[in-house]
Amino acid sequence: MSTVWSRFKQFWLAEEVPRWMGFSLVFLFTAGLAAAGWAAFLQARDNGRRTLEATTAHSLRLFGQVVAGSKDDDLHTLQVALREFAANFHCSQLRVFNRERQVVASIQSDEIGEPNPFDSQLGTLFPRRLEVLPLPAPGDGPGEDGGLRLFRMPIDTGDSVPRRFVEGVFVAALSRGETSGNHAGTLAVVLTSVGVLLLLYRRMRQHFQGISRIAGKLAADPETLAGELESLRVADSLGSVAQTWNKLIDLIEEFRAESKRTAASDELRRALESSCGGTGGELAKALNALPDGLLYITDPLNGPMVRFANAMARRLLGCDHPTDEGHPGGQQESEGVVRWGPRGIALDEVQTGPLGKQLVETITATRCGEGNTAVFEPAVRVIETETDGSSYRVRVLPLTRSGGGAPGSGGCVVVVADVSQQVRADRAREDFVSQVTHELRTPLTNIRAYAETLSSGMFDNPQVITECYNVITKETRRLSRLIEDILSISQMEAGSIELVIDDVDVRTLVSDAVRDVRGLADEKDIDLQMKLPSKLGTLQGDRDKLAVVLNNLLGNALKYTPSGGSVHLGCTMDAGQFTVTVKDSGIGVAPSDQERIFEKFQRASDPEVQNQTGTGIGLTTAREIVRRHGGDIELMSVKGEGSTFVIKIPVLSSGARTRSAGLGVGV
Amino acid sequence: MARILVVDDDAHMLRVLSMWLARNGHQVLEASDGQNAREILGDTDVDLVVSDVNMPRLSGLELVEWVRAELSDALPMVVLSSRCDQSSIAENLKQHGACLHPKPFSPSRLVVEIERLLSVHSAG
Repeated sequence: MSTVWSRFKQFWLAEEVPRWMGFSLVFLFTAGLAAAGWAAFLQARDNGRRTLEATTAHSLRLFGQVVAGSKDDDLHTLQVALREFAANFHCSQLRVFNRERQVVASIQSDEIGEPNPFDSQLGTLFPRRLEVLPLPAPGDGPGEDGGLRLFRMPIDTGDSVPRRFVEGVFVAALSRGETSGNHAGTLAVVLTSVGVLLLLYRRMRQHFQGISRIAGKLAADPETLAGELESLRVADSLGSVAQTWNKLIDLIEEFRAESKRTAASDELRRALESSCGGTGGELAKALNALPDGLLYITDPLNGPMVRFANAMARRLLGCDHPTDEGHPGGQQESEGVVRWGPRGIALDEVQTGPLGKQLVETITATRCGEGNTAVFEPAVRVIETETDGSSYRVRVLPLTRSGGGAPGSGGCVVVVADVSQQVRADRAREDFVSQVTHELRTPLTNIRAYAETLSSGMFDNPQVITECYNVITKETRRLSRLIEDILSISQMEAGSIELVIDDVDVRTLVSDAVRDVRGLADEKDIDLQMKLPSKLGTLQGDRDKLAVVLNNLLGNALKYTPSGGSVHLGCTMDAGQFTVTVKDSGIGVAPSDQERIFEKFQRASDPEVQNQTGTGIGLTTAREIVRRHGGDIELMSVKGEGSTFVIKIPVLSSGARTRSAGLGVGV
Repeated sequence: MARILVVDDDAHMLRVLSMWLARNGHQVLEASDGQNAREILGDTDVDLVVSDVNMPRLSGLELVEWVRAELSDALPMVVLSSRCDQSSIAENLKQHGACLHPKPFSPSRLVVEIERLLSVHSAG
């Protein structure tokens, strides 16, 4: 007995529930459920029968009253009442007897006068009240209830002793449809319950497995929580408990990394403050306020040590935290964090952020030689981050050891400056020079080739000669326009662009712009359409500059729309605003390029754009001119579907425009 | 007489090159970009290709690469370029057995160069 008990206890307390037990539980539960269902079904059937018997009995009483009311000799009425009742209650036999137990009336009229056929089976007592007796059917075995019932009831005719009684046979079974309906219902309940149960089991099993796996890992080595957490991870597929656990581990790891960073930053800040005469020292404040990162690195025998770093350097290294000086939140002493030795932090231990890693690698690379003879060499390097494309210039300034020695033997001072803007500007300028070179060479090439064609004397056809002159003239014009564009950009940069304000007839302005590019559209077979409202007024502005804006936008639209496409120009003038919409079905502009293409010398990175000639100044000029008019240009574009440029210029009174233009000049 | 394919997206350039080459007794085919040139080269045999670099759809450099990969190792090709990075383009073209002619250029000198390439090719 005790062995059984101990085995049961052992089984019950086991951490992992064996699979067979799960299945057995499901099986037992299902069996129990099926048994309960079956019992309920039987109960319902019995209830059904009882109800039927009761209903029948009630009706019989009513029927009895009808029969009692009828006259003795009115056999016909009695017969009809019997038949009706028999039909309603599915009575297979129904008779009225007198005290001599002879049939007085029956649903089968040939039985009248016959003796009671059930006397031999059920005795000859005259019923005193309604009796319902089970009647074994001829085919039933012993103990079987085929549902056949015989009822007897005296008919109250008002005499002291009833003279007649009615006797009938009916089947007190539920109809087949009802029974099979019940069977199907029970089966559905059982199946649904099994399904739900299986699902529940499946779900719970994952939970149990997740928890038991986590518990197992923790139990295997209780010390792991203090060390590497990676081994404590469990498969995410083990369910929500496992996923939550893994998220907790992520949080702990993040928290640890953060506190490591905090520790490094605190250490560097304290080092700086103590080198500069303690917390709140003026020199420390001054160094922390520098826009450049500053690191002081000494070079003891066992490797370079960062003695201090100002606020910007700490931020660039990625070991900054919000409680650093200069950030909201003020200073905070962090307790229980890892501390380095009194000589600073080893250089290769401050690699916290990705940029920090690059910085440390760059600084380390300027250190040459081994051990005692290692020195820092002066260097200027530009590093680029991979994440956001920012660029930093790292200057390493070697220090000589205080007791004398080789330059760089005493460590170095490192200054890190953010030069992203400068690098971007340089790159844009390089691109511009190469673009402009190409743009200038293209017309020059034609001029030179056609000029030589003329001077060679080999082509004397007058048509060819005229053509040569025409091309040379056209290409010269193109060259000068390009030079003007470059000049206007320089002027804009210098802020010396001036608007010549006048009344501009909007219809003429727009129609002229469209007419100027009509030839180009026809050449490329582009459907160029202009829709102008019937009423268009005048605008205060610089006619020539506004024409340049429209020409640039229409030119771009035609340039970047393939043959067979469409360019539509729409125009409205209402509520004090002049709006022009240039919509094309061209190559479109990627979202990443939509702001950039308005910057000078910048063109979309799309290879389809790069293959076309252009200097990246058309849109810059256009936007600048529109802004000088107090308006702006908006771009809506979907890559591959086309672009819509919308120019909006407020329609001002002439005085107002002159004043705003005057302010815009900024001389 | 040779059959020469001239490829440039600038119509004036196409015209002047065709005039000079025709004047020297060659049959000239014209293509407005690399893609167009590729279609012509697929249908017709030519003795030499003169192509610009910057063109929509298919650039001159891509055209050279395609010819070397799909068509012929020996077809003489002259590439005209007005770009800044001439030396890197020249290096690239040399690897593919094509030569670079910088823009602006003298048509008479280009014709001399083309004649030289044709004679070397026919001798080889």
